[in-house]
Amino acid sequence: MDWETALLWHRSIFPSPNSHDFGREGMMDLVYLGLTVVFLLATYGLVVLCERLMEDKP
Amino acid sequence: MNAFSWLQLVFYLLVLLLLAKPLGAFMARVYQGEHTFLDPLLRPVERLIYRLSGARPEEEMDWKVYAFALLLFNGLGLLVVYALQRWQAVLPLNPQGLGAVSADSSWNTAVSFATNTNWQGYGGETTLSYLTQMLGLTVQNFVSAATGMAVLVALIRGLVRHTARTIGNFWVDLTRSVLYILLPLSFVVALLLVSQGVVQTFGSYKSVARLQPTTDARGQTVLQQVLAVGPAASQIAIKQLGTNGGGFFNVNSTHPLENPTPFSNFVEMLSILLIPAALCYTFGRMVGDTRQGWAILAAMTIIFVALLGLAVWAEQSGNPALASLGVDQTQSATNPGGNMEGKEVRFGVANSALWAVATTAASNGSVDSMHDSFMPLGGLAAMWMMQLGEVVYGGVGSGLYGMLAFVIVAVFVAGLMVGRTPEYLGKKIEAYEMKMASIMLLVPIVLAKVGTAIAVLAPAGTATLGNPGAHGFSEVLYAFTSAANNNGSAFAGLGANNPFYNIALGICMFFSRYWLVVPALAIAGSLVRKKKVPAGAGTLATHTPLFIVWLIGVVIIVGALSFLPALALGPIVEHLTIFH
Repeated sequence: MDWETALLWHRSIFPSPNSHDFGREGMMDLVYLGLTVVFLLATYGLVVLCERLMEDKP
Repeated sequence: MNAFSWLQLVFYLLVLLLLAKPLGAFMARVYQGEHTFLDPLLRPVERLIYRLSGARPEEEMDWKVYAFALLLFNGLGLLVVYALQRWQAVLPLNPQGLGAVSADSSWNTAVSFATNTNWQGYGGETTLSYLTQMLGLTVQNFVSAATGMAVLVALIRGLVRHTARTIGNFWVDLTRSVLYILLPLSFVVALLLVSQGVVQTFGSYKSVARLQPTTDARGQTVLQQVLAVGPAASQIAIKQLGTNGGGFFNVNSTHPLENPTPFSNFVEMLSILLIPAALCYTFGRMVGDTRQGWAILAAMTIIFVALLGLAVWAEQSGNPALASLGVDQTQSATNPGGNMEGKEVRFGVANSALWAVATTAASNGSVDSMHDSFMPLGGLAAMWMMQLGEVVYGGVGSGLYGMLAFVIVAVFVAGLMVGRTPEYLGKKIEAYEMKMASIMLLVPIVLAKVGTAIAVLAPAGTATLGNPGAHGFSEVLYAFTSAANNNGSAFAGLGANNPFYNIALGICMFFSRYWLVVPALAIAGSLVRKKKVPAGAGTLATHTPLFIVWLIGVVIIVGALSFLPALALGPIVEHLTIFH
């Protein structure tokens, strides 16, 4: 798929006011996916913290 | 309120409590792997699911592996719902040709449904395709509810087992929750709803002749109206049973095609509290002492009845502002009386107030009237029900594991007060369990209050407020309370489908779910390692009326101390303004 076709295809999927901006929509997706991954990792961090606290208890 | 209205409330509670025992006993059998009447039909399906998914049901998990499996499964579900919304324009089952949902709204909705909150910033019938509704939202309605039930069962195993390491298998608990409990119940409820006229179709929206012609903005006569339809009944059944609440239609169960009759209203209200109430009995059965389950159910019911009474009284008393306009709010044979603003005349004050209190008690979030139009104290009852931590029945599974965190605090504090070693069901409650329980109680409170504070200070937070002053503050406080307790109920009056609220509320929903799940599983992991201590003279009985009162006191005090100042700035000052 060449770039022009990809852009047309993307515009057909995302008919938002920003659909002309291929990069912006893709960037937004990356931001929200990144946010999700960071939150999940933070939650796993809580798992590790809880485990440490459990091992530390007298 | 007339005698018939009171009778409806009493009948509702009676049916709910009567069904709690048989359903609770059935669920206990399911989770304990005992034979049930559904086994001939579902056992082969269950085995097939394990074979296809590669899950090994005989392998038990310790609490960390259980938590990791849960996070992985929920994280993937979240991403699938996000992708479905972003790609719905090129996916099938989209007869209306709806376009992609914006990134911030997609993320908010994905988090909302993965976390069993089901807050809706969008209008379902104008935003989402049938495929997104069914494959995204309805599937999450099942699995997010089952996730809550799985965590509860793991916590119960932590209390029941001793000197062990494992608390069950997440995949087994998830599968059995969906297959044996949620699917069969949803099937029955969906059929009942269809029998009442709730729509269930893959057909496109219908254009019908208006009963009364009207004119549009250009002055042209409009004779036709488009009716949104779709596969609604199947989603509504699980959204009520799974305490999800995300409606098929934007106005939820005020919509006549989602809730057409008094009977459908009763069935939906019953479905909201049915599983959370029955899980109390399941708990009692699994720990080998049903009195423990009844005690918790009694504590929940007492708080529920008290706040239901407040809401009904507030709404039935009417609104002085409406009275000054000459609106007749006196109850008569033809007038239900009271504050009918924002309420369906089909349901009246009693059923609207009951729904409002039940849905906020159960972390359900669906509505059959507009909470924004409730009297200040009626709105306070709904808001406070959430602020108590969604433990009065609460969400399926999450309500009871939240209440067990309160039980741990109650037992610990009682132990300190009388000099006894705190123990619950034979397990010593020590500092570690208290730390984990404290995290469970504090996370939603911090998220709701900090979120509200930021929103009322930020221009983006106040830009879409529908009302100024105390009522506007209540709208913001309600939204963050709802998100931070995984309820999903909307007060309305607040334009929340914008990047600020989609992100802020999404963060609240995410952390209030998983940062409670992890400590709950950690408590299970800690308790399961401990020995059972035989009950002695120094053991605090946790099934007695005294303990029930003590538990209610702890729940109320934590709720009151946490939110009373905020409530004073919202509904309380609004009440005083209206009546003085």
